[in-house]
Formats: sequence, structure tokens, C-alpha cells
Amino acid sequence: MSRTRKEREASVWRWIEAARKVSRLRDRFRCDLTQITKLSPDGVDLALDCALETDPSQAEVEALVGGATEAMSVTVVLSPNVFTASLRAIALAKAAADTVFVKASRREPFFARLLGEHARDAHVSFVNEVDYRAIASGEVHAYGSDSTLRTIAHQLDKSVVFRAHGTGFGVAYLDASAPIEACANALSRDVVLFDQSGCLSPRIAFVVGDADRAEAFASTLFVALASWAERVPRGELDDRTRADLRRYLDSMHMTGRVHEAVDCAVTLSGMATLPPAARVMHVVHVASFEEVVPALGALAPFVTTVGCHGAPPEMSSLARGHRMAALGMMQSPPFDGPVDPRRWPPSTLT
Amino acid sequence: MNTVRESDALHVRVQAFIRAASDGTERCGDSYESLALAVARFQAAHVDGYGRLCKAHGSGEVAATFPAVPTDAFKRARVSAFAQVDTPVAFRTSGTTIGSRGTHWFRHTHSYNFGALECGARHLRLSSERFPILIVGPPPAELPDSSLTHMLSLFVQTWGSVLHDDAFFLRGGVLEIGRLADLAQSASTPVLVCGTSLAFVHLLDELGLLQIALPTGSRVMQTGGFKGRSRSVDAANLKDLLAQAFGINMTDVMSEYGMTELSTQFYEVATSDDGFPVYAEPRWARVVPVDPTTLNPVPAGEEGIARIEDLANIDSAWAIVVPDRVRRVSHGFELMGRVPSASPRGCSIAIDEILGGDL
Repeated sequence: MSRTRKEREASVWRWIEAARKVSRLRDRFRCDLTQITKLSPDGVDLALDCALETDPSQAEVEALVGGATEAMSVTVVLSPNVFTASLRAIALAKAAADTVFVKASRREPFFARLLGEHARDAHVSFVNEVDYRAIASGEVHAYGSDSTLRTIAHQLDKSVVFRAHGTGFGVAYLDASAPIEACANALSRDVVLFDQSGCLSPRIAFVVGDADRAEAFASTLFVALASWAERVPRGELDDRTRADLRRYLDSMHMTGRVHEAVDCAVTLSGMATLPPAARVMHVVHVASFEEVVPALGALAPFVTTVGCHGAPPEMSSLARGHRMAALGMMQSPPFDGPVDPRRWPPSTLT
Repeated sequence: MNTVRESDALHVRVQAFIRAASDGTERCGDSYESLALAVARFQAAHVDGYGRLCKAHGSGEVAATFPAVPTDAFKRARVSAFAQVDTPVAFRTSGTTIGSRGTHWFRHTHSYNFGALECGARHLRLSSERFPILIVGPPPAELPDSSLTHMLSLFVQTWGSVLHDDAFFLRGGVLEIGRLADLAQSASTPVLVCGTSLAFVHLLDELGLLQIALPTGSRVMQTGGFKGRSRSVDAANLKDLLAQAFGINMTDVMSEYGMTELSTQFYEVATSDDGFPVYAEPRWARVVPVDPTTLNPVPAGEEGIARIEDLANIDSAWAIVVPDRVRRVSHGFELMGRVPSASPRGCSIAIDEILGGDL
């Protein structure tokens, strides 16, 4: 049965209200989330405070609902680690259909179910497994790695609408007039949130100017990240990430400049490269925004968001289909649709 | 002493060490440690970046305390004691979808050639008598920046009885199977067929159930992995298929482990109890399993990633670290496969995803 626009909005608000309750009760589950996400307890709190959308505007919710196409049902496949993302994912599903099936990640099944307990939405069911071949209609909204998404896509009937949101990363851009210290401080917040494990997390910063200006930004950003580490320590890194990090930093010693502390690092060279997701930023100097896409090369289609100071740079091939955000707000996009608006698979962007 | 003369002196010492290690006919005043220390200090002084790496890690009075260069650095930096104009030879790693290829620059290949011929002669049982060496791969003119093609060309020039230009059987992307079969089957002596794993897989695909029966005593040398290609075959299975296709014993299919970033190659000498290939090092190279997070050596018998020391890498990086899993065994080191890069954390992308596993 078709729902009115107001009913669809109300179904979204129900889940936002649940998120507010959950956030208030954080003392009860902080330890669980720390263990599951590997974020530090302060990292969990920071995510709840800054990335859980407990206070969106009416206009944002209207935009979110307006962007959804009505469907008979939606199956949501969640990704792990960016635990707060389950709210927006379920809200998008509720905007499209009253009947929603949620498959939480095996690695992080906790937060979505917690939201569900407080939303008490009889039309939302949590499932452990999904038989994708058996879905005959409706939509599948999937969040995760591109390889996971490809596996799902291959199993779906053509009649099922597949809305896929794959892996990606954010870049920061400082034009020639951007104030170094303010930008470094703002960007450091984006880096610290989720310890860079989100698809919006910035990993590379492009600085317009010469090598000296880039170095000034790198060293200031390093100080800002080190300061964050005292207030919000980085979570536990798994062995593979630690190994990747060691090899990455050593190779960067060969290439350029490395600022390294226990909980964070900033590297600098004339070439764009993707550092491990461990509170590590790579800084590259460019002459203008037009150099950013060529510098990114094959990484460009994976950029989900561009953070910048002041007015966004002129739209270019990089900016099409991406979020633009102020530095410091890269991880907090408006609650008006998916955080990652790229078409999937990302190679189709180029 | 200027950099060139210092480098030349090291090349002479390393070549003397290789010669002494090979036949013992020439006395050599150097030990592995003394040469390694000399090369490491030379590179710390003259390879841009290596000095910074040494400073970051700290390095003492023994060679083992000098850090190893991650192979990724060859993609990001110029790992060389000399300017580009002074290094006319460039070997490049295979391309990846990210577009960056690692480059190993050489001022000359004298020490490389010296070591490659010594290793090849010993492990491929090559002698002074010429015999057919057939390469399932492109000729140097088509792939001038491949270290493997360079080495195979060197083998053909040194030991091959087939004219150099006729010894390569992949031209313009086309496998010349008919010509390969004619030459191999008409030979009156054993032949050596060399190629990459990927080239052999394509050869096997085209052969289907057909066989190119090689003369008795012939051998096949295969090298290289699949690096994220769409087609891959398990190493042991590939050996079996090659033995069948060429009508030889599996023991006559030999594997070589080498890489663009090195000047020295390792040849398979056994299979471990766990089914992994065991490779032997020549005396001028060492493979040390190290902890992937600290890069310190692991206790004897434990698995680590490979720190490869290669004294023939005089003008670039005498020690590199590769994310290949290795373990010391009695005859050399077990090669247990590649360490996967970190799994994506949440929806954050891992570089492996872009590279298709080719790091």
C-alpha cells in the first residue's frame, strides 16, 4: 500500500528518535562498541557526538524522503565499523518502503539492532542471512567493499533495484588563500573520526602552493593530530594494518618527509598516494585544483567527498557525483540522502 | 673518493665475492658482513632517502641493523645512488591499474649479469656446452625494461644454441606454438624452456590436450606469479600441467623467485613438508624472515615477511622488504605466499582493492 509523504517522513523520524535515545544511553554499551569497532572509548563518544545524526532539520529529512523511490520492500546490507552509518542506511530504506529487512555486518551486528530495539518498528526485521537470488522485487541497498557488492549484484534478479555504496575515501583541498592552521585543525577532526575507517574519511590533502607551504601544512596538521590523540586516542590497530603502516612509513622516508608519532602520522611528497587508514594523512602540493585529478590517477573514481576551505573549487571531473564539504565537516554531511552519492561501480565515473 | 669510483670499487669487490663463492678458485678478502656493511654505508651516504630511513630507524655497526627498503618505495621514489642521466638501464615492475610502476635503475648490469649467470649455471645445471634455450615470452626488443627478459636473453646469449632472435616465442602478443613445438621436438639434445607462470598458463590453454614432447633430460623453468590477473593457477598444479604438456617429470620443472627490485635470483631446491617451495640463496644474498610490524627478525623456525639482502644491488637498495611470507628451513627458505594487505576497515578503501591484490 502506498504511503503518503508525511507517513514516509514519520517513519524516518521514528528512527532518528531511536538514535537520540541510544545516544543518551551510551554508558550502557560503550564498552561493547569499543570491543567491536576497535575505536577507543573516546573515539566511540566522538562518533556518537559528531556523526550520529540525532538532530537533522526537517528540510533534510524532506530531501532524504524526496530522493527515495517508493518500493515494495527494501533489504539493507550494512557495512561494519562506521557503526553510526546504520541510522542513515535504515532511514533511507524506510523512506523507500515500509517493509525493511536489515542484515547487519557479522563484524558489527550490534548498533543497528540497538537502534531497532528503541525504534520498535514492526515493519523492520533483522536477518542474519539474505538469499539474494530469492528476492523477486523491491530494492537492495548494500554498503561495503566493492568485491562484496559485486558478489551481491551477480545474484540479484534484474527486476530488483540495486543501490550500492562501495569503498572510497575523502580528499582535502586547500586553495592558495586557505589559512594553514585553521584548516589543519578542522581537517584533524575529520581524520580522527572513526580513525579514518569511513568512506568519507580524508586520506590525502592537496595544498595549492610550493613544497614549503605543503610542509607547513603537514607539520601543523601533525601537531593537531597529536593533540587529538591525547584527548581521543587512536583505537587498536590490527596486525595487518600495523604492518602496512610500517612499510608505508618506511617507503615514505625514501620518498619525502614523514612526521610520525605513536598514534598518528603525516607524510609529504610530490606524488599522491593512499596511506593506510590509521590516522595517517598524506600531503601533496599542487599548482591548482585542476592538477588534483591527474595527481590522483586511478584513485580518482574512489573519492567520495572533497573537503575544502571556503567556497568549493570549480566543479571538475573529480567533483561530479561527490560530496563537497567544509573542512571539519567531511564526516558530517547533511542528512539528505546517502553519504556517498557516487554511481556504482566507481569506474563508471571516469 | 667520488661516488662513481666508490661504486666501481664495490662492484669489483662484490664480483670477486660472487666468484669466490661460486668456485673457490679466487681468494676474496671480504666476508658477507664486511661487504654488506660497506654497501649499506655507501647507500646511506648516496641514495637519496635511504639516509633518512637509516636515521629514522637508527643503524649501528652491523649490517643487519640497517633498515630494508619496502618495495613500494621503488614506485614512489628514485632508489639510486646516481642521477637518471647516469643510470641508462631501467627495469620496471609490471603495471598495475593504479598506473604506477616501480623502477630499478642501473648504471650498468655487470654485477647483475655476473650473479644471474652464476645462479643460472648452478641451479639450471647449465654447462659450457650450448643447447636450445626456448623462451615463452617476448624478445628484449618488445620488452626492454623487463629484468626477467634481460636475464633470459643473457641465458640465450651465453648458453643457447638457437639464434638469439629465434629463441623467443611470444611476438606481438601472439604465442608461436607451432614454431616452439617444431624447434623443441626436432632438437637432438635436451632443451630448456623458460617462461612466466602467466605465459605458461596461456600456452597450456592454447595447447589444450596436445603435448609438446621435449627430448629426454629437458627442463622447464617457470617464474613469477599472477599479480592480480584474471587467470591464475595453483603453483603445484601448474607444475603438474607443465610436466604433462612437455612430457617431462615434475622434478624437471623448476621455479625461480626473483623480482625487479633485486639483482639476484633464487631457485627452488625442494618442497617443504607443508607443500611450499623451498628456495636456496647464493652466498651473496640472504632472506631473513622478519616481523611485519617491527621488521625485526623472528625467532628461528617462525614465519615472517621477507627481508631480502642482495649484495649485488650495489647502487640501489642492498636490503628490501617484501610482503611475502617466508620461513627458514634447512636448505634455504620456504616461500608461503603473499601477505594480503590490510582488509578494508569499514567502507574505507584498502589499496589492495584498487590494485586487485597486486602490491
